[in-house]
Amino acid sequence: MKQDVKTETSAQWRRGVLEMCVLRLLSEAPDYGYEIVVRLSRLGTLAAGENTVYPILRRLKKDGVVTTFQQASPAGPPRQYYKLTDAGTARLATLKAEWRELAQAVEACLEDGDSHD
Amino acid sequence: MTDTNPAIEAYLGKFRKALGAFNYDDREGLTGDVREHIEEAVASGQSADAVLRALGPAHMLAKAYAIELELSHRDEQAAGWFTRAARIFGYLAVGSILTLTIGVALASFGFALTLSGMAMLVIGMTEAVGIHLPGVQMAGVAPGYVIAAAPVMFGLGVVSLWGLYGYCRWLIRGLRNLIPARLAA
Repeated sequence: MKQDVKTETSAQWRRGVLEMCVLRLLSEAPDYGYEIVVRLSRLGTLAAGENTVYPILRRLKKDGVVTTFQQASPAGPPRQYYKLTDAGTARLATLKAEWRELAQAVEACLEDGDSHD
Repeated sequence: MTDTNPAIEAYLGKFRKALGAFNYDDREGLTGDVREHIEEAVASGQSADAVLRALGPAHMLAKAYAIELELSHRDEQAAGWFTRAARIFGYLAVGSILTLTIGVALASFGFALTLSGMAMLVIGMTEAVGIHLPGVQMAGVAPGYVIAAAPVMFGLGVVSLWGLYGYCRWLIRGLRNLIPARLAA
């Protein structure tokens, strides 16, 4: 039961930062859904399932931070590529700044706690 | 191609039905996204079963989309059949008045002008070469004017028919968006 709680907490953390990581990947170059899922799956702890990534991609599109376009695939039907918009670039910058600020604060909090243990 | 895989089609069918709270365009779009993912994964060498297992149950995937897009299933379900039926009735009531006006006008102009344009071209050209078709009265108008006016008439007719086609598509799309997934699928 305790393990379940821990896993659920970690899942919430990952879900929170996943949007930032998706935007970060797309800031390099436009990419299609399956490749985004594969690239995220290589990031160890961050590994996110496709059942999480696709809904996030859809929301990002709805929010106007990414846009989509079709491009021919060498094997099969055309792929839907996701591309960062100007609003997406701005959101990524904001999220990165907020994340670093948060990470510093949490780290300071943990170090402070360790010194009292 | 994975189109003929019954397990994949069954999964996508369940997924589409589970997206009942979304409108028609969203249901088709989301199902297309998932289909593309499955096809890419299978093409990369994974088995269809493994891909579907990784996606999780279709209704849970649909729920994940609904949560992420902040769509309230409860609100949509609470709307129920009565509200849905009222929306469809209202849409049809307003749509039928518009359709009567716009549809009849565009269809009349479209067919009349297109056919007239073609007829004028034939008449003008035959008159120009000295052939008088039976029943045709030129009323002193030079064949050259008739030939020149024919493409204009024809063009206006085509534009009207194109407008009618666009209006019908818009009408059908709006109606589809009001119909629940289990009926539209």
